[in-house]
Amino acid sequence: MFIVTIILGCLLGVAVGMNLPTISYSYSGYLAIAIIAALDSVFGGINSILQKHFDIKIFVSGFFGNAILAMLLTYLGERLNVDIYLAAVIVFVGRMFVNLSMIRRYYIEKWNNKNKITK
Amino acid sequence: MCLTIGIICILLVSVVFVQVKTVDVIENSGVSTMRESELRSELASWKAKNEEIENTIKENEESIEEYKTQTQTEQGTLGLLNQDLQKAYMSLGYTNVKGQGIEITVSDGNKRVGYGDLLVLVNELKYAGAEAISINDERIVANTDIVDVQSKFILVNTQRVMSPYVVKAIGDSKYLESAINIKGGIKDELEAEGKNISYVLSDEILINKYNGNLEINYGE
Repeated sequence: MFIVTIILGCLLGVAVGMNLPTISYSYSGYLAIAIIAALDSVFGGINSILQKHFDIKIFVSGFFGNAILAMLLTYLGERLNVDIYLAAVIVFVGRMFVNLSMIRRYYIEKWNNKNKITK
Repeated sequence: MCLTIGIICILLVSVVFVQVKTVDVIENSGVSTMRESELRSELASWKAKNEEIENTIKENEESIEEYKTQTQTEQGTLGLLNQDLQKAYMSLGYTNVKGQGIEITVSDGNKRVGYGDLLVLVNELKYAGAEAISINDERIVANTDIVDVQSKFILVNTQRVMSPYVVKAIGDSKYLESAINIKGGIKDELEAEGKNISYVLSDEILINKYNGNLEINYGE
């Protein structure tokens, strides 16, 4: 059920995204940082599902909150002439790697257990 | 819950696609990849360069104008110099001269024509305002010699000349004529001595240029 929804959502997203107009360059930096933040939330969500403490409220608030916060920080950095978005990128991508490694570990453990049982 | 996740998927994927499209468009159009501040500084530097170049153009135009006026005045002075040079050459005898004048033919009769006769003739013509004189096409110039060698032959410009002597002179033909023709003048004298003299007035006397060198070796 979940997987069908995700695939359907992705396909619909491709269709919508293809038809949307491009944005101006000065805003594309904000959008990029928002995408990184959202992806971080997605991987965090997947990890939390696997750890069995997933909460849709935390996920949705993290998804939008992180994106908006990242954009605000980027804007602030632009105002202050400091590249704050770099810090945001480092933090989000770092967390993304951590989450991915957790996911990997979970599946490897699962596979190992399966092998043990069959033996 | 499913709906929320679906909406989030749609949102995320569509935003990613918009961003990818935007980046693609930007990468295809060089200048727009720059940040606004970069563009601003770039623009400022180009403006400064443009101003500089315009200034140099202005300067160059001014100097061109200067050179133009200079060459104009130089051409004027050059023209004047050329005229002076032409005049100097003419009076030195370095050019062919054409104009109204007289052609006198003197030949031996009962008595031979001496170098003194030619000297007197040339002198008379000069007195009458002749601008150019030649004897048998030997141009009379500042250092022309008219001498005889052992009373046998006459040298003009160290070239031997023989009877009949054709003396051409350019100048006011009336003056020249009267200088020759005057009573008791050279014509009468020569005829009295038994030498032949005749003259023709013409509007187109041609006197060739002096072919030698006017070298100055000792004077300073």
